[in-house]
Amino acid sequence: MEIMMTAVKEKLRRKELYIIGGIAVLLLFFLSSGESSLSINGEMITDFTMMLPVFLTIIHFVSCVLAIVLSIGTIGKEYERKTSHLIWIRGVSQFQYHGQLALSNLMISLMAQFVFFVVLGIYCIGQGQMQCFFRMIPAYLITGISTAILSLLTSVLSIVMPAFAAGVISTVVLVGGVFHSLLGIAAGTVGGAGGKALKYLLSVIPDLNNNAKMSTDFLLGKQVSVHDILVGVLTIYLISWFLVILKKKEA
Amino acid sequence: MKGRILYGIFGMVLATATVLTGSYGLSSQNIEIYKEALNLQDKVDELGFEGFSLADYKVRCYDGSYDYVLSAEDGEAVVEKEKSILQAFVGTAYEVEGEYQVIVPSVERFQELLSALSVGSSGDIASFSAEQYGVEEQAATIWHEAMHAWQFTRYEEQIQNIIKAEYSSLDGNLGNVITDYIDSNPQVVSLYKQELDCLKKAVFATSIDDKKAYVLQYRKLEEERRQLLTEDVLSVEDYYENVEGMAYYVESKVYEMEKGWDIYKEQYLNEMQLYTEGTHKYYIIGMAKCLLLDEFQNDWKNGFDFTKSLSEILYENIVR
Repeated sequence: MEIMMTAVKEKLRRKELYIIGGIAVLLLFFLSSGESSLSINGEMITDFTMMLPVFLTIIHFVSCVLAIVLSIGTIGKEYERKTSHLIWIRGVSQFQYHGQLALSNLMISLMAQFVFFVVLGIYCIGQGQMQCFFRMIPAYLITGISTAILSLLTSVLSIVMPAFAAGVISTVVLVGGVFHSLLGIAAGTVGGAGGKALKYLLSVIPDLNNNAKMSTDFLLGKQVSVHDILVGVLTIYLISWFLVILKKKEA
Repeated sequence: MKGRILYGIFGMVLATATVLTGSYGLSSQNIEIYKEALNLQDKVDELGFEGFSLADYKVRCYDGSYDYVLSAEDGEAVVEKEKSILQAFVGTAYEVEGEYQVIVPSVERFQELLSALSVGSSGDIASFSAEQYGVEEQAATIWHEAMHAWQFTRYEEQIQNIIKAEYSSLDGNLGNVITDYIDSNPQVVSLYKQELDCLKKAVFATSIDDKKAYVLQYRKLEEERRQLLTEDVLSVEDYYENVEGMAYYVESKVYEMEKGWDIYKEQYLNEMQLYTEGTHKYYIIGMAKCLLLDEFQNDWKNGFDFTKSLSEILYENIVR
């Protein structure tokens, strides 16, 4: 766990965390202040039940972006700096090394998400929505499924490909996952070869937006699908196996 | 090694739990909606469309992968999984192996469609928001498309002849005619807004004389507008009013049967004066004319003549 904690401390020094996270926190506070003029279909959004999905959408999206940004160069940089040799001489396997680095990526991503949920919690308390406040931990974990998927995926990809390529693929998964429903509709509407190709692509991209939606539903006291949560956890589990399977060749 | 074995076992348990908690095939909710729609047959019979029975048409529910074909046999709903005919999220009546069948997205997919596209009371897709769309709304949609199946089964040739030569081959692209010649013409749009206002007043008027007065006022505006358009464009409008307007009327009446007058009024009537771009306004205009025909001549559906526009039939019945 020493490797993981060292990596976490290093990440806490990264400016991207504070820039992206800071903007998101400011945006959330602005939205919660009542000064914003959001509207959907011409109707102003002021009601708590209408604002909450907006909050969760922003938190979910920014958490996913941060998960990629914070995970993208971790493993690659360790090898670039040649610090990996210091690890091998201690008898640590590649799996343990990559696993702890990936865990550090995951931890820092979830910590950033936690900060956003703190802001959301303050908003819930301010709105007198205590029943929402008490449901925040499970909602945080549901949203965390998307964060974990993208963080782990980026970590795993960066074992075998350059950081840029890993980032591009992860971003494609992020966009496909966040717009999964819309793209699914487009695939069904367009039809033909293009529609089929899009359908196959979507069948391997997890529906990340569904996690944000389930999180919102749970906070509002609605039922969520146990199956969908298990699908998310299973996805994390399957990605984690690549930490065992994939090996990095050192020069 | 022991750790990996334990992790593997954990994965198998997780995968098993995932599979066991999943639902496969068509959800029971869609089957219940179909049964609810069938149960409305007696009330729909009171509308007066001769031989219009939902059980006569198979309903294909498309879930994104397959068509689940629902039919009524001996009073029971039967489901068969088939390869998708259209592979698209549309609500329509489509000819399959010599008979017209109803095609709708499954209710879950319809909700996703509405949520993804955030369509509200404007647009060509539906009049409901994602949050509103549920059991009753899907049942009403099924009846809407079943009306199309009835129309095309009985009056296919008449309907095909509504559209004049220039646009008769456009088929699915007829909506472009509306965009190009109606929505882009400020004078036509202005007259339409007045017409819609008149129609709403006619529908909500409480005395038959007031209704007649508003209809006659509407007639003048309509005649003025029609002079600005070619016969071919007018034929496209007549097509949408007759075919979609009548189906929308059935959909709205089914919705009233399910939800009651107040919710029906809020959903279908309260904002009918609003001009919308695209073809949806013809749904509303056609529905309004059907509602008015109910007031003036309640057996107007007997031997309906698709070669005449709803306006012609309405004015004939006022003169009586």
